[in-house]
Amino acid sequence: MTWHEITIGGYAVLLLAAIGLQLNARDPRSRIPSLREVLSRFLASRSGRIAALAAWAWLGMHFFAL
Amino acid sequence: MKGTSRWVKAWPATPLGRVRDQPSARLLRHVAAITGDARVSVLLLAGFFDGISDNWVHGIVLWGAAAAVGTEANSERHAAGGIVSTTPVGQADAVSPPSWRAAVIAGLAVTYAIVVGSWHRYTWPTTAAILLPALLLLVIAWRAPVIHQSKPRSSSGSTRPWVALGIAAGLWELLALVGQPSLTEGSYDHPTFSFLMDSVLANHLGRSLTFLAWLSLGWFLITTTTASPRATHETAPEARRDLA
Repeated sequence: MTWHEITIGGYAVLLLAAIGLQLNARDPRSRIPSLREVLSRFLASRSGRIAALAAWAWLGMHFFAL
Repeated sequence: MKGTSRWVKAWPATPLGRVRDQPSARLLRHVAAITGDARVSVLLLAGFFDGISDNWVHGIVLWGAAAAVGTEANSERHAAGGIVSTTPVGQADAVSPPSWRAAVIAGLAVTYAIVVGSWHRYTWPTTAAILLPALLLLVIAWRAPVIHQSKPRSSSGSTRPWVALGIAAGLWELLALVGQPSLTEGSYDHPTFSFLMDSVLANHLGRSLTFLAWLSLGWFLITTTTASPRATHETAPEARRDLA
């Protein structure tokens, strides 16, 4: 197994874990909130909203802008 | 020593509250509160790593965002009153536009993404095309009233799996970054997420889809918690504390 495959495998595990958490959150008995609920909690204040939008703006700049 | 004895003499007569309200003490408290905010710490760290990856402009942008978030969070903590809406998400008279307007906005976004995707990355036109919506939504995020969120069904402790996943993702990305030959040179053996995206963003379709996904994420973030002025009203400090 190469380092490339291990690194990609790590990203795949993280993605699967996120999908697993989200599916678990759909269970009404689950104490884990959905990603949308987590985001809503984070965005509940103006500072949280600014932080999220700044991170979003940076993401666009990182991939496209000078 | 003369100064010290004078200070000692003055100490018993100085009410503790007055000492706490001195400008230097206030500044220290503000700095401690700002740097202790996890959101600020993440933005500062991200700015640092972006900077040492030879992109100090983006790093400085992130540090500026950290300063803005910290300042805003500090003023939120000290606010005695203000505009807070009690309208739950989903019932708001909010930014959510009528369906025909949403369709127009979606059409414009798709057209915008197709046009911008036809341009090469890291050029001035693409930079301007990114900065335009980014600045617009940041201004809206700063100025528009916030919709009060309905409480999630679970306790605050249950967000830990998501937080742990975010930290794990950050550490994995960091491991890939330090595994590169240098911080400015990508590696096939230790690809960062950005390195993997390079192949997607190498063609027009990939750039347009990524740009559209980015615009959609921004739209989601801004419409989730942004209320129109009509949806808000002044609340008393007691009610504000209840909401917190």
